[in-house]
Amino acid sequence: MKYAILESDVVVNIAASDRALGAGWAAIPTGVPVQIGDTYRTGVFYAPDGTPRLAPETAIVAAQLDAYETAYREGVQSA
Amino acid sequence: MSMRDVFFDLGRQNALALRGEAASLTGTQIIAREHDAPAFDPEKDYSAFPAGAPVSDEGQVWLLLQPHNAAHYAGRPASLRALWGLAHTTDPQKAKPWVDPYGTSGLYMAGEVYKAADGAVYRALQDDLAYDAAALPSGWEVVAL
Repeated sequence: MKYAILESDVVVNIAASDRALGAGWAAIPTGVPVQIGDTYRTGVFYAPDGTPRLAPETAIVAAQLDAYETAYREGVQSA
Repeated sequence: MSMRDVFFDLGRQNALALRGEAASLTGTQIIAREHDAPAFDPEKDYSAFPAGAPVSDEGQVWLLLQPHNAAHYAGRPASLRALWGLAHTTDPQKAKPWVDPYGTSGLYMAGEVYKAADGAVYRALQDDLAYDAAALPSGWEVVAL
């Protein structure tokens, strides 16, 4: 398991460990491409540009949902 | 039919349904479904739209008062108040920023809410309020969210 080491909710380092090592550490879900400089809020890591860090399979689903939302909005606008 | 087409059709159907029902709905009910209100289009011909048809614009939901071709008028609903009326809600979670009433159009009725610039939500304590809580504190109460 990898862990993000946080200072004021910002990832300052990434460590590999079999166990969490105290406050200021947050587990990184498998496949989530967290990088130093990311922000961690309410269980989610965010890139510096504000986009959430997602595992590849989650990103695919999120992109599909975004596309469906866009299609729905276009349908509303066409009415 | 692709899933994109399914969602497109669903959005269109829901928008048409809301437009057809809007005249019989309260502002609260319409704002609860505001995701089905199309964005105001300054080039659109609203001549065939029924009175009461909702559009969204500048963070508010506006209701068509007078069917017209928007391309023939300069401005948006906020500046075309004879053509568009403002919808209000009693749902604090859906509270919109304050908009000054226009004559008797857009007055806030008892129970209706607005969200102030600082994020506080105020609920009208009486009908026909034309002034916000800063100007008329006795007419409003703060809503705990």
